[in-house]
Amino acid sequence: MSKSTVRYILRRLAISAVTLFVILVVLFCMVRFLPGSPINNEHLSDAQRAAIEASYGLDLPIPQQFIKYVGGMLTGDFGVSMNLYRDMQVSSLVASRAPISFFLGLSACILGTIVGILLGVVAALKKNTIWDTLATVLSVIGVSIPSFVFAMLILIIFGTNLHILPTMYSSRQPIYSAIMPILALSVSVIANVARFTRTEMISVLNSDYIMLAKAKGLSQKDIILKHALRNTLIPIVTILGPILVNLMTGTMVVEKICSVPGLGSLLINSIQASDYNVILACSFLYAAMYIIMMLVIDVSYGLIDPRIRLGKDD
Amino acid sequence: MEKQRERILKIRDLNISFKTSGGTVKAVRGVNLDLYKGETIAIVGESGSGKSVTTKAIMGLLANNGQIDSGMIEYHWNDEYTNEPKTVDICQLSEKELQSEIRGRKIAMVFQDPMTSLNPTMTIGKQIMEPMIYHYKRTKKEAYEKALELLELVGITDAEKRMKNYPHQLSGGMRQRIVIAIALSCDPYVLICDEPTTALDVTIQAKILELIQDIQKKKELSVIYITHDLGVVAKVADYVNVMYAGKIVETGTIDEIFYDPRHPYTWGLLSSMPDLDTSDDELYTIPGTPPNLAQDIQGDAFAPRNEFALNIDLREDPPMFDVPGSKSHQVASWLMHPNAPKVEMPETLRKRLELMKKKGGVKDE
Amino acid sequence: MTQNQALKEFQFQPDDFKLARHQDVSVVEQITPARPAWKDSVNLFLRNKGAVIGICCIVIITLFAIFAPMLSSWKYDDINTALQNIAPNAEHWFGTDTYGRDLWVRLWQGTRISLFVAVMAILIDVVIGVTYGMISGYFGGKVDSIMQRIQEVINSIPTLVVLTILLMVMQSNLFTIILALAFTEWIGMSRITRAQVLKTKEEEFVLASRTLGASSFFIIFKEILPNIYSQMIIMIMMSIPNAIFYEAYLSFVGLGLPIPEASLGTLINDGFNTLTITPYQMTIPVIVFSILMLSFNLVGDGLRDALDPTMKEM
Repeated sequence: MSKSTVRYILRRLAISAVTLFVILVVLFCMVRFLPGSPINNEHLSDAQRAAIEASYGLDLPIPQQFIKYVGGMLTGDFGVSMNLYRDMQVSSLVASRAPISFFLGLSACILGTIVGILLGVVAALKKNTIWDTLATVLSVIGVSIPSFVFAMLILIIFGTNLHILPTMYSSRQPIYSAIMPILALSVSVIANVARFTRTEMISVLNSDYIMLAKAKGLSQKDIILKHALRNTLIPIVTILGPILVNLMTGTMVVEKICSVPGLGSLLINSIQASDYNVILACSFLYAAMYIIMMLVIDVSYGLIDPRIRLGKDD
Repeated sequence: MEKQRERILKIRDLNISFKTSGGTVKAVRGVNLDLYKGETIAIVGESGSGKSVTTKAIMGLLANNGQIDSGMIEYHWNDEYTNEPKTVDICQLSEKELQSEIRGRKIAMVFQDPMTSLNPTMTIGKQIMEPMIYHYKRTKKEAYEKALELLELVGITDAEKRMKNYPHQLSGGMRQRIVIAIALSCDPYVLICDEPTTALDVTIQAKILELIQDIQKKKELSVIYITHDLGVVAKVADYVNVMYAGKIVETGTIDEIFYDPRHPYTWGLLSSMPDLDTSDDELYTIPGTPPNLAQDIQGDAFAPRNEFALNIDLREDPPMFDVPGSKSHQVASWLMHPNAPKVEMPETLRKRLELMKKKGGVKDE
Repeated sequence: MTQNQALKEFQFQPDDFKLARHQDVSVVEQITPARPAWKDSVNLFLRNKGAVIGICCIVIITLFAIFAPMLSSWKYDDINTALQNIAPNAEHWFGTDTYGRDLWVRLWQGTRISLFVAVMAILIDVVIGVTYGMISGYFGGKVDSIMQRIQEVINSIPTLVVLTILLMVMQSNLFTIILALAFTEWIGMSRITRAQVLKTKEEEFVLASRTLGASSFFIIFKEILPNIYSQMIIMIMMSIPNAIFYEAYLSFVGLGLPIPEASLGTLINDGFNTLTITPYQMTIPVIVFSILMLSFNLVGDGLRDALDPTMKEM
């Protein structure tokens, strides 16, 4: 890694840290301004409610609350759940939910990318044949229709009607019950990757250096494997960002449909219950994941593509 | 020219067409061409005249919608071991044979744009070594040694360091040298240069041309230049073929084409060639545009743009006429027919050519 | 074949060897009459089967959304406990829901609202984006770099987090949903505008007008719109399905339109709750939703190919 690359990464890290802090401030303020109160038991008298609010520190001025919160955050304390899971540590709540979501998202991403690349390459090589048309139609459908529709479709067909897959997530069969959400989530990844791979592969195959490789007398197989594929696959890294964002949004709804106890359903439930600390922690985690992923994608793209020199053109 | 010339390529009546959405385009219409060992020919013409298509056909690299309708491209060589002469028609070879026997090994190509003709994600070294390892099953080490030699041959200093570079780290001129090194890596007999200097800086152009000439002498290569730049032709070629609308309209030695051009199209080309003595506003352009080759052409394709067109030009395509007193000079124009009126080249052009002649010939200035 | 043999094949006519020069040389310049660029684009677009089907679907669905509720004898919020969960029949074409409301009317009312929300949101998006991009690009320097940093930060917060928090703060209703959605897609538009402003600013006539003391702001504005309109249309077409999707997503999260309003999102969400008992309540809105998403994407693709071939790789 060159000096400029290191400098670039450091700069990006600094920007990310600032961004995360800004996000935290904004989120914190907004959550505090939410209408309604987490202490929403109707049987409580005003005095009792005030007492409970005081016990959570909600009576303090907002800046003070914020400092307290950030202080706690640095030691891994994200506060406690105020009504959803009474007095449970948010950090342990999130820690118990996050792995499932990660597992689903990551599996869908890997599965989708591999299948998508294969589909895209086949479509490009068999351009203007029935296979190409089929792959193109499939990817348009996959790109346009969101994953929750596919989740419902799979649920109805394979769950309710054929009884092949479970209709409810069961923690006793984590892999078996993950099949449905993973399949549903991977459709859009497959479609996006396939579409991109096809366009990219076709333009690479029409490029001058492929003509030169042909003029060298290389076989079709070598031209594709050694010259075309690498140049096609490198830019795919750039669309992983949008794909991951898609996946994050997708998991929230798909988790609800497949009743997966993941981060997404935790966030949804906490929104419905106005559980401040849980909302804050979940949204912040989403934002942080997103920023870190973008950083990783940018840096790795710079590392695999020799043409990109990080930090040079900035 | 007196010594025994060894023919290496013989193209006869080559017809190539492309199927497009706008109909069938007859890109090449009955081309004859000969290439002898160690000699250089140039194919000159506007874009779309079929010059690139002809050379792509020689390498069997026509696009998928292109096909050779008729004709032959004979390649002659002496067997490496037995040294007996052999002949093959490239048009009849299968893709597999073309790939393992012809491309790279016997005929190599230098492309127009060095900025895009190298694989951006592969090191220079790998790209040069690749065909040697592929065709001659050399070890990596042998290939590496040879690649270094080649880099030095094409005038790249610091060869060892350059081997590890990626194309984007080099200048255009350097990249073109690399492309030439790649072309030479399998010791071909024929080198096709498709506008090798068009994309380059003027100062680099001359150097690259000299380099190609140098290598040609060292390796006894036969070279085909494709270009629209008569300046390049003047510097390098032994024989010139002027191509128009998929046909060769005039062919001859460099002196014959430059000092005694007969076809009105060649006159036009020569008149429109810029030089130091002509100011820009005097520069001649040939009126009109090349014909649409998707439509059938009645008569001479050049007739509509030809100031000196005869009535027969509108009806019949002229055959090749021999220019009296020359073995090599041929012209496809009815003006060469004994019954045709005497038409002289434009006065301004005659003056220019005379001036050029006085300056000591087109070659070796 | 010698030359003389070759010549014998021709039948010569007496005036063959006369100059044919009397014809005007310039006649041969067969220039195809110049056609306006938009005509080419329309032709290109109409040749794209998917796009044409897409636009037909959009038109048909929009017509239904406008007229179906007017022409039906039922109203979308008529609760009738005597008619709960009736399967589709001659009287209630798409059945009724758990409150006995006619689903045919509710479906088209919901489609109407969804389309309205999406289109309004995107139009506001465009206004925000163009304004932001104009200001950023026109003033340049410090203003630009500060505005770009702000944009960077906003861009690095995932949309779902922004939407969730915004709608939790502002009680969700038709207006706030439009507002929140309008806040999500403007960045792309502002980028396009800014780039175009930066380019136009350097044009000679703008520089000239500035040296003459004229305000170049309006000149730039007038110059920029025709240059970005095609990208703008593509952007809009691509953003509308996103907005439709996010509206549905909000309903899923429980931040959708309040009862008894209907949108495609709320219909799907309501239907999902009784999926196993009355599958038609969810299936029908999902189908309309999917067709709408697919159509907008197809039209967007078609427009992109027709208007701006350089954007193909995106």
